[in-house]
Formats: sequence, C-alpha cells, structure tokens
Amino acid sequence: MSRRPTRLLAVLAAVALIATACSSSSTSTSSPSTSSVSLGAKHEATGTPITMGFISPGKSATTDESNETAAAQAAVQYVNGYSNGANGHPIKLVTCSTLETSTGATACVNQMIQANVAGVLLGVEGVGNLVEPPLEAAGIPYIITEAGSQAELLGTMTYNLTSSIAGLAGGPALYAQTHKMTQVTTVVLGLPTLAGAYQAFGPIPFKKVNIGYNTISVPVGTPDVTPQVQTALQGKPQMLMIAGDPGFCQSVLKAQKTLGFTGTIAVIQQCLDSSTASAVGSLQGVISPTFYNTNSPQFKVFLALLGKYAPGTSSGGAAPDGFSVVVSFADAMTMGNLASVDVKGVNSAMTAAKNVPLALGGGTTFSCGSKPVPLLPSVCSGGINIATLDASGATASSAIVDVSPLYQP
Amino acid sequence: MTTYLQFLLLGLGSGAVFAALAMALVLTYRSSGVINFATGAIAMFTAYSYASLRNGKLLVPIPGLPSTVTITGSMGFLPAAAIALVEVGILGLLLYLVVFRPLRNAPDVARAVASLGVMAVIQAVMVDRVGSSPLNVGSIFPSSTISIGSIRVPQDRLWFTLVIVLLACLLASGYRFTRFGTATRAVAASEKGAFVSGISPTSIGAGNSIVSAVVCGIAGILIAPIVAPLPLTYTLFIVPALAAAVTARFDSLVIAVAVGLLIGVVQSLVQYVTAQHSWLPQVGTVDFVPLILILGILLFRAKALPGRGEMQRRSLGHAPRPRSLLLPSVVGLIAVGVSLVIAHGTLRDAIITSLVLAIVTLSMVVVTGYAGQVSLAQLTLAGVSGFLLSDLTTKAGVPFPIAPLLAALGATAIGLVIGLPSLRIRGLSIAVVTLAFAVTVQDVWFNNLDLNGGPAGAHVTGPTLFGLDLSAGAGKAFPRLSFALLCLVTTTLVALGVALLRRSRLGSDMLAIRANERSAAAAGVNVVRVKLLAFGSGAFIAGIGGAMMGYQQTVVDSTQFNALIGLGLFAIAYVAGITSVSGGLLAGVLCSGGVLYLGLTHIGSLGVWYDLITGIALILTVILNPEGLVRPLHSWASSRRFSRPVVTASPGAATQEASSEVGLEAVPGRSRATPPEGRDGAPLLQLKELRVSYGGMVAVDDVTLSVSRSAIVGLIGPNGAGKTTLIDAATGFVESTGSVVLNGQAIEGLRPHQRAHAGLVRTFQALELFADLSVEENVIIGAHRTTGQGDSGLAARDLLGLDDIWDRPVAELSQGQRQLVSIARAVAAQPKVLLLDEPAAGLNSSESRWLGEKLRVIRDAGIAILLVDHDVQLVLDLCDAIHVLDLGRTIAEGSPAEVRSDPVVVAAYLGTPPDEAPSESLILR
Repeated sequence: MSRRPTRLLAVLAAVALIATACSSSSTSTSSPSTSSVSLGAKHEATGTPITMGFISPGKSATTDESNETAAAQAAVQYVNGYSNGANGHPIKLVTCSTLETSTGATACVNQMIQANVAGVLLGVEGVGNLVEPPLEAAGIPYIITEAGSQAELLGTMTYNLTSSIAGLAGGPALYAQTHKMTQVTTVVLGLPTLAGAYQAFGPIPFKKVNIGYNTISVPVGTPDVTPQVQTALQGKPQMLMIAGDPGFCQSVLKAQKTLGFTGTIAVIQQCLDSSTASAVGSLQGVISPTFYNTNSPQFKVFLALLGKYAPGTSSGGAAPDGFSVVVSFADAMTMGNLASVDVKGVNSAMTAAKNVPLALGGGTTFSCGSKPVPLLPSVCSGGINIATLDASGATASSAIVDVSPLYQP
Repeated sequence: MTTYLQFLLLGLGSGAVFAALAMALVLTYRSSGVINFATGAIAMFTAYSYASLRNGKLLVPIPGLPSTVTITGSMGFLPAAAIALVEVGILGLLLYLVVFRPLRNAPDVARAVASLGVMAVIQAVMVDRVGSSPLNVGSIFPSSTISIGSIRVPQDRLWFTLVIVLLACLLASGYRFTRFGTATRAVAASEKGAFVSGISPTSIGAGNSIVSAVVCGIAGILIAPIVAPLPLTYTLFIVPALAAAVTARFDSLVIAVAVGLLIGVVQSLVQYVTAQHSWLPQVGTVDFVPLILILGILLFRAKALPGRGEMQRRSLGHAPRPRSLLLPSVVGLIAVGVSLVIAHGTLRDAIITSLVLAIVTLSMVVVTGYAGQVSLAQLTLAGVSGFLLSDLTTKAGVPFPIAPLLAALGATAIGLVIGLPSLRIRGLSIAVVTLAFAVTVQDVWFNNLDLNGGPAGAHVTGPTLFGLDLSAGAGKAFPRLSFALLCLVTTTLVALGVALLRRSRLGSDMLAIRANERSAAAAGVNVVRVKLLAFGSGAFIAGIGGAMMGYQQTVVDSTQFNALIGLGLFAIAYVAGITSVSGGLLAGVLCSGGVLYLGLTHIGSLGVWYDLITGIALILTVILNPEGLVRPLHSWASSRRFSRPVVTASPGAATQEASSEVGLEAVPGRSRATPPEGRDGAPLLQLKELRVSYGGMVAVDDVTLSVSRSAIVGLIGPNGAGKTTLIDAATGFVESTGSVVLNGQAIEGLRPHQRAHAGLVRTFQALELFADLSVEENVIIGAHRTTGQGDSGLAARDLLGLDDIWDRPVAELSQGQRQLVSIARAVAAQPKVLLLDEPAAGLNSSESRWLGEKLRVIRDAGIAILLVDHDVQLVLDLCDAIHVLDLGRTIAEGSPAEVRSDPVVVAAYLGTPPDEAPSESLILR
C-alpha cells in the first residue's frame, strides 16, 4: 500500500516532463489579427486628463469577470489614441474589484472617493445595490451599461446606457406578442440582484401585452436544476427565458432538452460562452435579447482591440460591457460637450448628450436627458437587439426593438 | 400522481450528488475521526482535472505556473478518469501526511477547522487556475431520456444513482470483510492497541486517506456532467451531504447513501409543492429538508447526558480567568480611540470593521469557548438582528438605542431555537446542526425577496442620541468619527461583559459543562438552563454585532451574513483563540475587511491570494498552536503569577487538624456542634427495591439499603456487581425502578442536579473533575449551589488540606490530589448524604487511613455516607455497616464482623479473611 504512491508519483512526473517538453500553455481566445481590421485614423486626446473609476466584480470564487476590466482598459487606450478621448480629454482609469462582497463594495467606494474621480463606470456588477448609494451620497455620477438592482435603476445620479432589465424583459415580451404566445416563464439564478430584477420588473411589460408571466428562482448551490425546470414547465409556457452565468444556463438548457420542451428559448448574452453550444448540442433557433450585436463592424474592431491591447482576454461574458461603457461614455462626453473634468462637468454632459450611439449596440442609442422608461428614471435607452442564434451560438440575424411603449403608465 | 413520481425521479440527480459526498464524508470520519469540510472541494478538484484531461490537458495545481499543460489531443473516459483519480489519491496522501496526521490527537474542532483551511486552499487554487467559467464535460452515462408514459427521466441520473449505490455496497463489504477494513476499525478504536497488535497506524491512516480521496474523486467525476463544476457550488453541497452523514452516525455507508438520495428526492418534491402554493416561501424551503432530518434523527436517538462509556475528548483549551479589567479597558479605549481620530477613510473603516466583527467573534467565545457548544450560526444570528433592525428603524421608526437592543433580542429568540438541539446533541454534531440552521435561515429569510427588503434593499436609519448624529455617514464623510467612537464604546462594553461573564458563577458553570457535563450535573449545575443561557447570551451579543454592522453599511444585505463567511469567521476566531476575550478581539483584527486585511492589500492586489494565504495560515496555526494565537500571551501572564514553587498537599501535615475542634466547625453547614447521634438514627437515605436493567440484562436487582444520619455504610462486591450502577440509579444518572427517599422525601422523579440540591451528592470513580478549572473553581462549583454560605468551599478546602494547590489547574495534579479535590467538591455542596465511589483509589495505605479519619469527621457532623471501595481494610475499619453486592443482588449485609466471616461473602469475594493475608489491602481489579 505504501509503495503505490511512490510509483505513481514517478509516472506522473514522467508524464509532466514529456508534456512540458512539447507543449505550451493554453488559454482560449478568439481575436483576429489586428492587421485585417482598421482602427481608423489616430486622433490623440491631448487635454487635461479626466479621472474615471471603473468598478467590476473581478475574479473570485463566485464569479470571474476579470475580462471586463481588461476590455475596459483596452477601450481606454483606443479612446485616448484614436477617438480624441472624452471631448479631447484623455481618460485616466482607476480600477477596483468588489469580488461581489459587501466588504469589497465599501472598499471600492472609499477608493473612488479618495481618488477624487469625476465619475464611476461600470458594466455588470452584482453588488451594485451596495456600490451605488454611497457613491450617490458622495455626489459621484454612476454610469453603467447593465444595472439590475433597484438602487441603481432608481438612482438620481445613475446613467443606465442600455435599457437594462426593461429591455431584457420587454424585448422578449414584444417577441411573445408578435408570436401570439400566452405564457412565458423565466428561470433565473438565485442571485439576489439578478433574481430580484426579474421578479420585480419582469412582470410589467408582459402585463402590458396581456401575456402570463412567471419567475422561477433557482438557489445558488442547487446541484441538479431539473426539478426547478420541470416546475417552470408545469405552467406550459410557450417561451422559456433563462438568466444566469454560463454554468447555470448550460444546466438549464440541458434540463429543458431532457424534459422535452419544444417552445422558444430566450437566453441573455451573459449565458453564452464558447462552450455552451457544444455542451447542449445546438443553439439553433434560440433567441437572445442582447445589447450588443456581435455581427456589427464595430464588434470586429472590439475584437481587434482586445487582441492588440489585452491579448489572451476572452471576448465573452461581460467584456463587451467593459468596452462599451468606456467608449459610449467618451462619445457622450464629446456629444454633450464636456466642459470641466469634474463631477459637475460629467453630470451636465451626460444629461445634454442626445441620441448617443451605444458602442457595440448595433444601432441603439441613449439620451440620458429624456426618460424613455418613466418607471425606471435612470434608464437612458428603450432599445434592445433581439438576436436569433444559429447552431453554434453565433448571431444569425438581429433586429432592434423599442420597449419604451411597454413601460408607459 | 404521475407528477409526483416525475419529481421524485428527478430528485435522484441531486440526491446522488449528496449521497456520493456523504459516502466520502463517512469514510473519512470512520478512518480518522475528522469531519472533512473539504470533501466538496476535493471532488471539485478531481472533476476539473478529469475535464481537462478529457481535452488532453493536464491541470497544473500550482499558482504561478501555466494553468494547464497539453499532453495529447483528447482522451477517452477511462484514461482521463484513471489519471485524475491517481492525482486525487496523491492529494489525499499529502493531506494525511501534512495536515491530518499531525493533528491526530487534537480536539475534533481543531481538525474540522483544519479541514476548513484545506477547503479554502483548494478553492483558492482552483479559482486561480480556472476562474469561474464552467468546464464542459461530455456525459459519461447515456444521456438520453427514458419516457414512461408522461414521465420523462434522464437516464444518466439513474445510472449515477445505481453506480453510487453499488460503490457504497462494495466499500461497505470491503471494509467489513477485508483485513484492511478490520485494521481500520482497530486503529480508529485504539491507536496504541493497534501498535501492539502489529498494525501500523500510519500505513492504515494513509491508506484510508487515499481511499477517501479516491471516493471523493469518483463522486466528482460522476457529478461533473450533471453539475457544471464551479469552485463554489461544490462547497455548498456540504450541508445536505453532512445531513446524510450525520443520520448515518458517520458510520454506515449504505445508510448515508440512502439518506442522501432521500434528501434529493424530498427536496424535489418540496420544490414542486411550494410552487403549487404561492403562499409558501418560494425560495429556501428545500433547506428545511436536511435540517429537519438532522434534528429528527439526532433528537430521537440522543440521550440527555453523556453516558458512562462516551469518550471525553480533549477540550478546547484553557480559558483563563481575567484578573484585571480596568487597566486593559482604559488602555484599549485610549489607544484605539486615538487611532480612530488620526485615521481617515479606508483605514478608519477597517478599524471599525475590526471592532464590529470582534463583537460577533466575542459571541463565539461565549457559546463555543466557554460553554463548549460549537455554533457555526453566530454570523447568521447577527444577520437576523441586522434585518430586524432595518424593519425596526425604517418601518416602525424605533429610535436608537432601543432599536438595536430589540433587534438583538429578536436574534436571541432565534438563538435559543438554534440552541435547543444542544440539550441532546454533543460535539461536532452541534456544529452540523447550527450550520444547517444557518443555511436555512439565510435562504428562507436573507435571500427571500419578500422578507429581506426586496429589490429596494433593507436600509437602516442611522443612530442618533439626544440629537447627536452618530451615524456612519456616506460619501466623503464616511465613516464619521462619532460613529467610530460609538463602535469603540460598544465593543469595549461587550468585551467587558464577556470578561465579567467568565468571572461569574454562570461562567464557571459554562466551563464546567464544557469540561464535563456529567459531573457538572452531579455538582448541581442545571445543564439545560446553562446551555440555553449560553446560546441566548451568545445570540444577544451576535445581535449587537449585527446591528452595528447594519449601522456601518447603512444597508443590510445577505452577502454580509453568508453561512460560508460565517464558517470563515469561526475559523479565524478559533485560530486567534476562541476561549478568551483577548482571542475574540484578536479575531476581529485578523478577519477579512479588518485591519490586517487592509495592511495586506497594501502589499499587493490580493484577490484569490488572500484566500490561499489565509487557508495555509489556518492549517499551520491549527497544527502548530492548537490553542490559539493568544496562548503565548496567556502562558506568559500565568507564569508570572505562579512564579512561587508549588508544594504538593501532604496529608500527613494535615493530620493534626483532623482531630482538632477546627474539623468539626469546618464541616460546612453544621455550625452548631451537633452531637453525633446514635448509629441507629433515622435513615437519611432509603433505597427500596431499586432495579436497573439494560434490555434483558439486570444490573441492579431489587436492592434495598438505607443509610442513617451519622453513619458510614460500605458497599462492596466483585467487579461488575453493580455498585456504581446503584449509585447512578440513586442519583438519577440512569433510569431505574423502585424508590429513593431522602430525608423522608421521595426523589425518584428528580433530575440529577435537583437531587444534588436536595442534598444527595456523589463523587465519580473517574473523578470527572473540570480539567480546565483550578482546584478552587472546581470546589466552588459545588459550593455556590447552597444559599448564602459561599464559604462552604473554604471549609471543604481546610478540611481536606487543599491550601497549597488551591490555585492550580486540576490538570496538573496527581491522582491522589485529584481524589481529594473530588471529595472536597462534594463536601462543599453541603450534602445530607454523600455517595463516594472509590474515594481511596490512587491513595497509598497511609493516605487511605488519613482519608478515613476525614470521613469520620464528616460522619460525626451528621452526614450519612455510602462508601464504595475496593480497599477492604479501609471499609472494614471505617464502616458501621456493610452491604455486599454480587451480580446486582444483595448477598450479605450487616456489621463488619458479620460480613467478614459470612461464608457466602468469603466465597464470592474475600477469599481468605483479611487478617491472615499480607498487610497490603486486597485490591481486586
């Protein structure tokens, strides 16, 4: 018994030696060479720098959004070098990771305050409900692509560049209406902010179009989600919406296939990563309410930038959010004519900028001075893409819809 | 009906996951006595290794190196699984040699904490290697669906269940029928015995560790296609797996697997039922399943007090009695106060976090450190208070300081509920129950959008006092100095309170229970009351901590009070020193978000490295310094106190006192010199037809005996005659029929501590002293039971000559000295009747004679004594009457002369009359 480990150790060492001799480390990436995509003419920003914070979940046991920060930093390089920064001012980014804990949230907020930032940029943040209020109390603008918590959606100094949950629920509602469905159910991962968003705001657009709606929240730490999916299917929905991280979405997709669901499936963009299609077989016919159009020319620029400034970074998950918030913010500052590199300047420019195209949005725009979704005052846009996927999960076709009518009182 | 069946079958998937992990848990416990919290993490590591290997890549588990190394294109199931299992076998061996073998004599809690450290390390390494993106794994079993009528069941779940059940049966029979299995059980029972039998415990231990790890690994590989492996999710499976393992008493593999499957199935059915009825909480009800299971099984099968045979494991470590309170408090207040004034922003916030979390860790000191009840739910109780505070301040407008006190009381109520199982369950099982409670409360309440403030969040209105704004502030002003000082004052008050608790009678009672429940009950400690008080006060303190956390963050959120974070906090508290106030305060400094954490973040960006480093630090601290980081401090402090040499108590020197008047007056409670009554005075204790049977075996068979005032009755008999059982029956430690009358009052219905109060006091064969406490504290425990006369302890001290060792911890005394302490404790309780179980064991003949004289003094003061001993000379010289038992039955009774010459007795026990034997007393063992 005691000799076995030694022998096996030797075998393993030999294997490792051979392997090291003829291999290289591997990480997944999908970035085309930069030479095939033009980044446009150089247009360097030369004014006084504007210090902006970037808060992100980072990498922890519960989540890995580390590529979001990398994408944001790549975007800053691009904006400062090729796009005249924020109305001529180069952006200086101060980054912080919350690790999705309350301690991390407080630490990041303190850091931003002490760094005297003119505003904070975010893509996707699970503890936004803990980050936004103290920043608002400090008078710091909160600019985010996809907010989920009520604090963020109702904040007075929050600028939601996408339609957020309004679009994520409203888009499928419009789709369901067009296809004359009568019942839609969401299966969502039981993270309080995510599940809370779907439970609180999901029903609104469906009620407006008279379609039955239900949310099933699956607790974190459930090994086999099939019973929950079965519960969802008890109500005989024609469409199943899935929201969560890639691991959760894969489990749900497999479960619904096992249980023989034949209706439409709608997944959010964060659901999908490179392994999803191979895990579940085929994603043909699945729709995805998404803020970013992966077929757009700008997306190819994004991929090229990643390859140039952050090689090895995956372009999936929240990376598009990290990129988009920086570029969209810079465009908003330019179009809103940023006057001073401080909180006051950012606030007035954000409010002034009209019809700013959302970077990677494929055509959607945002105007933070207007309130397209009255119920959610911080949302600046009513548009969202409804993409139809092919077997490998890539976007086959895509159309922009406007969900704001669904949210008028 | 078919829907129920559908859900039932669907539940097998999760159930098989729990069953597989439960199997690994039971295996590990059976071989090493460790409840391994890292079981899920080990399974997850194997799953990832296997998944990488299927893609032809070898996972490199060393941070800093490339995360994977490509070996080949892709690999089939068997080779990938084989290599992965080899890897995890090596991991198991490594863990045994580096972590668990050095800890084999450590307390259970220490080893559980070490396994938490292992879990943290593995998790941190895996997060670093693979992030949290799931690694997709092809299915192992056929994944098509079987349709039976309208029921659809995925085939792979059924195959998985079958494989796990078969594996359990295989392992169970393997352990039962192989020599390895027998050797395992031998080593688990007695390491020394195993050595003597030619078995090497190290080889057996290593072998079992490898087998456990491989079983974990098999579980992980089979689970991987069903559950996308993520570092965190596997850890959360531990609670249902623990529930199954606990139900199986950590002994039967087959039961563990069966119960694991049952939990999965029932959870699935509960899921369906709650969806049908929207008035039920939609989230979290499934957590009730493992909880109710644990509670039900443990409560039905446990007894109120530990039995005679139950091993008392080494305790948690010395809980020093705080000597001076004023100086440390003032110094602390000034030092921390000044640093709060100087610091700003992040540093001040870190100090506040340390102060506030120290309150929660101080609650752990009370419940676990003092009372010995391992509670993993303290942070959850803080959360209960936090959420209650939110409702109280925002919805009900209750002002400060009433709101946090009310919130803490609410936490106390829940804390008492959580503490109820401790009345019947002991040791780490309590830890498992409290963990299950913590997870349930978290899911049903903190994560429930209907109860946790919903999407708007649970806000807390800042505290104000007499118009003074004490809130934490927000934005640039955060954190405000007035709030910081409020936290400082609160923490200081809590620390003082806990120190005063340690010095109080309640504190001594808690320590007594922690050391030895049986003797605490015999000494008159109301075990139920003290345990509930411990949980209650611990919950109240945790509630104060939770309220302060709420004030600090101004928003109460479930992420702050997560059960897993609570586990981590407990581990840090244990490492810092969970048995003392200074340990609790140090834990606050060390914890995540506190001062040390802030310091470390300045060295470099931490992220997963913090978890890795703290995991390793945890393991090292547990191995090298199991009594906590503050122990060196305490040793230094006590060595300064005890610098004078210790003189052992010598019975010879005290002989003079015995015959003096002092002896008479020194006997507690009899301040008026009571003339010794005649030996035939009214019986003070009457046992009539006392009968004790265990199943078919009768241990005490209708024994009738009585002891009169001022008499010593001897009880002798061969081994196994039932002497100690008789005492157990008379004092209520064992169930019996027949009557027990004390001073004319029937006391059969009373519990042990109540009989002690009534005046029936006993000692134990095994002494059952409170090892952590000093001689003084041991004796005083008995003394303060009586009303008013607190100096009865001093009288007992003087009588038995314990002056010189009064301050020493009992653990340092010789057997003879301990014997005297045990008797002193009994005497201090001012008994009417004293039952002494082998008081002369460990004393030589001159010491025995000295003891005999003491007993005469006690007798002459009016106390009735029943004496059990094997020192026949002592018994014959001392006793007024002797009762002889054999096989549970009285075979002779009468005066010493009668008994000595009774042929029945001679035949059964004495052999030759003692006068003809060599002068050494016959010690029959």
